[in-house]
Amino acid sequence: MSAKWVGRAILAALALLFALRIVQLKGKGLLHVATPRGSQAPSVAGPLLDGGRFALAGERGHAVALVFWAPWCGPCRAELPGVERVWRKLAAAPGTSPRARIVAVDTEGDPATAREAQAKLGLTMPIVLDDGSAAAAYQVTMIPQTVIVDAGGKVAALIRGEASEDELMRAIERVEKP
Amino acid sequence: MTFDERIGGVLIAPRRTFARLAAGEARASDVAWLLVFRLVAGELDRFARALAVLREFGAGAAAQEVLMVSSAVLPDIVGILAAGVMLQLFCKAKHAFDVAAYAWIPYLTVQVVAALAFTATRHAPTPREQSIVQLAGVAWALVAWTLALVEARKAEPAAEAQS
Repeated sequence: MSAKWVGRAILAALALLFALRIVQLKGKGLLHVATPRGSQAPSVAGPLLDGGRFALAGERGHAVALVFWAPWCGPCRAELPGVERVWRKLAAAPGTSPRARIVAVDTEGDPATAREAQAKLGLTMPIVLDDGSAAAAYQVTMIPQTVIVDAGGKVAALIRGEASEDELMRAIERVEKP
Repeated sequence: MTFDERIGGVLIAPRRTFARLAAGEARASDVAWLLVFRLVAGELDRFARALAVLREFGAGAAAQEVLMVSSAVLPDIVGILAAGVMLQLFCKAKHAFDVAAYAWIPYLTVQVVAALAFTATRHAPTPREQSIVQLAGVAWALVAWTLALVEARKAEPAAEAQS
């Protein structure tokens, strides 16, 4: 076999890999965002780490920031203390309704590892244990990822990757005052 | 030598090919093109996702994804640069740095063949399988780099005599 044909075979293999990936992507529906801006936010419901249950459907009337994370994820652990500070700023006085709510959605869904991270990072914001359905519905292919849902239950903003405290606060404020 | 002859030659006739590359037929753009092809073919799912996010939520949301995609070839770039610097240290031939970059082609070949096999069979590689693929690629690249060094050193006196 000549060097020319081996070289061509390598280039053909790269082209074939490209074609196979396209076919698989189409099959997975990843060429489109499942939750575009303005679409109805998919359901998020699950047990809260500190007891009780969370349901996104019960949060109409104020914005909700869903912060997808996992205890093993370094950037998530770096982001969460800032998210906690934003959550505290937004927390409502007793008896009044909150301006906006932040919920950390643990994509791993394991209470033991979530509790360890909660204690280590000093988190008091609500943590929902996801069984994988919320992460799948929102096409969470990387974490951390934050989806902000407006008061009407529609997807309003998306932050891919680690969000700073200011960035998160600004994004929530934009959704509150469109 | 043409582009495909240079790539194929490194894999099936490395000594002869490295000798010709060291004699002045090496092109730095060959490896740069292959890096682009590898990024596009290997990380297409992330690119597609970044494009979809860009369309719906703007550049800010897509930027992080694009950064992560680009960082996928960072180990390759570091490896190519390290191989070039090392070869330049051991050999003063004019094209030593460019010649060393071709030693990355065997690593790329192993990666592409493995990715093709995993994608075609829809098999998600286990960490052990990933390690085996990495090791095989690095081992073949090291052999190629050693041959590149030998041939570049041989080319050194010839180049000096010419000058």
